[in-house]
Amino acid sequence: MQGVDGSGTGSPIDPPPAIELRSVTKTFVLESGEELTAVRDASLTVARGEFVCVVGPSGHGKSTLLNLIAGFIEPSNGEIFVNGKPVEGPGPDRGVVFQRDTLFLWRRVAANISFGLEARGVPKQERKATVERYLKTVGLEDFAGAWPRQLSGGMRRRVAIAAVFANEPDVFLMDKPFVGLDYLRRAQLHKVLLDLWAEGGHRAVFMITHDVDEALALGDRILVVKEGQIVEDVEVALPRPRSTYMITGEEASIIRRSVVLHFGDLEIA
Amino acid sequence: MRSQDHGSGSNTRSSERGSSRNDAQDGGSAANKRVRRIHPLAVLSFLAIIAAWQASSVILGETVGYKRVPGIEDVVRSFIEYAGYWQGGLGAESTRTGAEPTNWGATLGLGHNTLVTMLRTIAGYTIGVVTGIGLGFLIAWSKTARGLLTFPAHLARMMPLLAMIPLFALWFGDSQFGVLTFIAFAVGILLFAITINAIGNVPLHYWQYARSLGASPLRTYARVVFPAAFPQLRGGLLLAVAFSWSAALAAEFLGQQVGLGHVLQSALYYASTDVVALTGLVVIVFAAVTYLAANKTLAWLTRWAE
Ligand SMILES: Nc1ncnc2c1ncn2[C@@H]1O[C@H](COP(=O)(O)OP(=O)(O)OP(=O)(O)O)[C@@H](O)[C@H]1O
Ligand SMILES: [Mg+2]
Repeated sequence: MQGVDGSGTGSPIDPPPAIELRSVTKTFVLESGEELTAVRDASLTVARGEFVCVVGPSGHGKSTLLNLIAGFIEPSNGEIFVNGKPVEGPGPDRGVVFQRDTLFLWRRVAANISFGLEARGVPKQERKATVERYLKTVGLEDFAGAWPRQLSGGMRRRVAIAAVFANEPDVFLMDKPFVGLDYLRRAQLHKVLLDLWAEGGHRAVFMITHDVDEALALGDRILVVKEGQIVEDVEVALPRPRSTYMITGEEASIIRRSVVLHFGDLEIA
Repeated sequence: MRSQDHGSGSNTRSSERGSSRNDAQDGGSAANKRVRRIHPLAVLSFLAIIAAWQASSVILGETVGYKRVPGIEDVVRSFIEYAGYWQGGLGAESTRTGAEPTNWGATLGLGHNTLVTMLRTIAGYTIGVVTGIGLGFLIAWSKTARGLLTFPAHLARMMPLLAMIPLFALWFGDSQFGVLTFIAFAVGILLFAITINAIGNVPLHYWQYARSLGASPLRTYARVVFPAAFPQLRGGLLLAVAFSWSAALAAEFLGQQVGLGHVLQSALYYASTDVVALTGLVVIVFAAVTYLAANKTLAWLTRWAE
């Protein structure tokens, strides 16, 4: 991509990375007037199609990092590129799945999924087909006409994820999307997520989780964010599809240990 | 709240589906059912009011050439006086031309004046709702609009509404336009304030989510912020129904030749408390009907809400 100021790495013909952060710092000015640096000099490159999981202690800047990439907030310093283009505000090239429920309660399930398609001017016929396809992938084809309030928590999560995936962004940003769901439901949603990810082709995922096992089950890479910095960046070289057996095996244990030790050697019992 | 309103996590798939069907059929009707059922105590209190009314009419009686409290019988009999508010036509001549008042003439007189007031109320309400909510959104939308409108809007809210009627009369004379503007003003000011507050309560997440799906700011306002804020406008929209009736009557009272407000004004002039009471009852009935209609419409429009 010649002429685009952001394709920093690789030769000119290589596609730019999905996400690129160059020495990004974010400082909030609190109401008291004090300054709080939530992200400190973070640099990161996420390749196309890569699934990155982000873990780290609470309040150490994970969501801030995601909000920066999403364009919801601006960096105080440094630059952010998505597909080689500098980030200027939110856009449909980056889909965001929030921890908080963001379903449009006044739209039925199918209309929720087609919201982004409508916004981008996708023709009606195509919209309909896309919505049907994604409803099917998340197993909610019977609920196209239901109101969100009629769905269970897990079903709502599936709608939220389908709505973002149906919009076919290049980058998926997810902030603890499966918090509060039981083990089985989560495993089901992991499967759904990976299906959508595989179906989408070259789409990068940047997913925050508090659960190292979840990161091991899903990620190609695990980042550890601590005190606003990316202090660990470890590859998860496990083959896919992954099983419970694999993510509790020896190789996984080594990764888990390198990640968990960043939280400190806690007395846990 | 029935438990099936929220398909709980432990439900099986088929039962969840079943509940969604049920809810889709009767969704949002719980509030209406509450309205329809009449509590036995309500009947009792209604009878008590009637009895107290009749009793006070007997006790206070006729004092200075007019009845302070007209009896129920007086009120019913005063219906014929409405013939005097019919300007003739449809087979009933105007009493002003010397014709005898008839029941048909009274019916036409009551019908005409009620219709006029009702239409004014509905028109003024609609204009007020649209401009009040519209301005609220404009202010949320643009910093310039916020700078320009916030101060005058606060001023307008502080001004006692009734005290402004003479001002409206001066501005618009006794024109139809003046009445409508006054009602719209009363309703608009109320909804303007409520709208700004409601928009402020819409979670930022909705905005961010819609924008990241590719919606333009305008689309986000129209399709996300507005519907998200709408349930919070419900109370204000209902309150404004009562408001608009009061405003319509007050405006008519001071400078119109037709309408229930005008009837009240001239009945007071002749100290016909029975006509005043009858007109008051008519207003209550029609205000209640419009209120219930608005309530039902709003319940339907927000049937999706949790
Ligand atoms: N808009 C904001 N204004 C001021 N301070 C903020 C803002 N957003 C985040 N912060 C602060 O930045 C720090 C990092 O917050 P962040 O939400 O990124 O943490 P996190 O790693 O996502 O935590 P958690 O795992 O609990 O979600 C916190 O101290 C938080 O108080
Ligand atoms: Mg967070």
